[in-house]
Amino acid sequence: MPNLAGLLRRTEFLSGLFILILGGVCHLAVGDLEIGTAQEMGPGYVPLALAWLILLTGAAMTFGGLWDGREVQEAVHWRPLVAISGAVVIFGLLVDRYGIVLAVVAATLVASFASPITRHRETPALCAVLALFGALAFVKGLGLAIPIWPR
Amino acid sequence: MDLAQNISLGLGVAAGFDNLLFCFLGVLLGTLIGVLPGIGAVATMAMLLPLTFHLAPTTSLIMLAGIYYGAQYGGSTTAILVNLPGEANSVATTLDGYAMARRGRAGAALAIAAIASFFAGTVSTVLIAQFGPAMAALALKFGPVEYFSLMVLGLVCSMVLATGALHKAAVMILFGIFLGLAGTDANSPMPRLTFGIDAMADGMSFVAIAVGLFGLTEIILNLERDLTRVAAIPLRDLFPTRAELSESAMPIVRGTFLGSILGVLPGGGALLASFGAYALEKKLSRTPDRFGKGAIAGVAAPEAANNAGAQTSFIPLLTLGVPSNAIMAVMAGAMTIQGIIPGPQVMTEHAPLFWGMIASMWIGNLMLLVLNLPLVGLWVKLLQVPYRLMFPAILFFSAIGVYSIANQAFDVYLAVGAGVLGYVMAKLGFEPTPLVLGFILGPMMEENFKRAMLLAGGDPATFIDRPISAGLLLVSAALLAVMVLPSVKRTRAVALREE
Repeated sequence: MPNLAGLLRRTEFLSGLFILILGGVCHLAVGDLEIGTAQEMGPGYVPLALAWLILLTGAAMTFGGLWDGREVQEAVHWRPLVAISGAVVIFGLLVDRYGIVLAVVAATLVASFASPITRHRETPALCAVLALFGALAFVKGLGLAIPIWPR
Repeated sequence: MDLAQNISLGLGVAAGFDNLLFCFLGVLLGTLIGVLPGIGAVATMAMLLPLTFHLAPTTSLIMLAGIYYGAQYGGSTTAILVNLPGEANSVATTLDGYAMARRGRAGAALAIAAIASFFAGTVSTVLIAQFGPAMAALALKFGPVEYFSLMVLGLVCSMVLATGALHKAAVMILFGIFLGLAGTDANSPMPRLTFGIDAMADGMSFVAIAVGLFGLTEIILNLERDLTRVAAIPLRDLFPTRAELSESAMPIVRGTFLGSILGVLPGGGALLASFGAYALEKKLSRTPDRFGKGAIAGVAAPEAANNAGAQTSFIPLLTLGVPSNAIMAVMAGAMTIQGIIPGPQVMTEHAPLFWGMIASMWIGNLMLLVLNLPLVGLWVKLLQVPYRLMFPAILFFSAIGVYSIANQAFDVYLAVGAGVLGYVMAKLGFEPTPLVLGFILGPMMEENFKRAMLLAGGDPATFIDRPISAGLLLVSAALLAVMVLPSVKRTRAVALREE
């Protein structure tokens, strides 16, 4: 039996833990919803059954993963993951109140740190083009209810 | 109504000015996206959904369908010219298409691909028109018991055809169903499974989930890899020789036939069709060693098959209400947003929409044939746009698309969550498609399951007492049983690995 650090590099074991977490969140979400009976099911009947099925599958996978020696092949690259997620979150935070222009510029700036392929001297121009396009095509053209400037 | 009447009704609808215009925009946009590697049809359609909101239902669906088959077409252009499949469905085309291009026959390969796609599109349009009503009539006889079992079969098929491990696809379906159930359900006024978040009271935004899982995940994974650029091969003459034409005639017919069948299967669609057709031609050929070195049959057959498969995958959605792959799930989402519940009643209650959409597929294919050969040069130029400029733009379109569905910032965060989830899934070998299918089918399955159990007094034996339902479940069980046989497991691994 390998040690914990070794186990955490194994695909099947990690997959099992991942599914256990998902199942756990599902179970939490069901909370104290009414279950009902098989004939007259409450809103919680099917969700609870699903949550348990997911938890059981996760447990079986984790257990089975103890004997499955295959290791995760691809490493996690934090930089694109964090920068891309961050860029979209920033967009969501700003777009409501500060308008599409600021939201696009901020998101594009954050996204520019996602990868070494970005040439930072191009970023200002890219921000300008996207902001202009967003304001003209989406807000003016399609009439989406998004402010252009901060309100 | 007979076939001719239906088709003329459809042509009448599809030839309306708006419908023609948006069909054109759809195929144009689709081709553009198909040409660009690193952005898939599912993400694009989800991203562009908000643009179709203000259109009439028929027009918006025509446009979305146009994006889909336009993307098929664009994908094969880059497959032939630069050996990069713009869409997964064109991988089979790279094998011989690029080899032909290197021998200086790029033009011929493109022309054959266009002709094959058009022929397949025409035949499969007729097939949909022919068999659609019969299937819908059958489906109208279905009660909740049969519907539930049918959806089980659909999900089992999608598991069998998924590329990863069976149990991983299965658990993703379960999780997808769970996510689909969040929000207010039909029987009780209180929202459930929302952790008290108001923005989720109407359920999770399908667009946010799809854009996250397919769009954002794709961008993150692309940035990890090195996207190297390949120089395009210059085009000389566009016309295939008489020998090339006659050599590809039968492969086109066989590819169309195979593709039409495989497209109907849940989880199948265009991807499986193109590989199946390629393998078939190689097996039938008298000179199998020419495959991979520029055999024109190796371009004609998969191109016909993937187009036929793309078209016929509409059949289960439009007649049974069961989407067979992720793209059809997006179409189902679009229909629901437009207030049309996918299912057998579409054909009767929305006859102009149904037949108009079918006719527009044929018109769209004609547009592709006429337009794209002259535009090839432009598409190739587009390929030169570097990814460092493209990904921020895709990111921006995704974010704005998700936000504008309900003007809710929460949906944007949900998309980020789905993106991170998709990233973890990709690293651990889980596929997003089963999750999305579960998400779409989940609420329908629960509803039918509940109703069936209520009618049966809480006795689950009702699912095996009724013959149609028992048959559907038996096929599902048999498929699953066969899948765990060791020999089949190995063959499946080999068969699906090429994808």
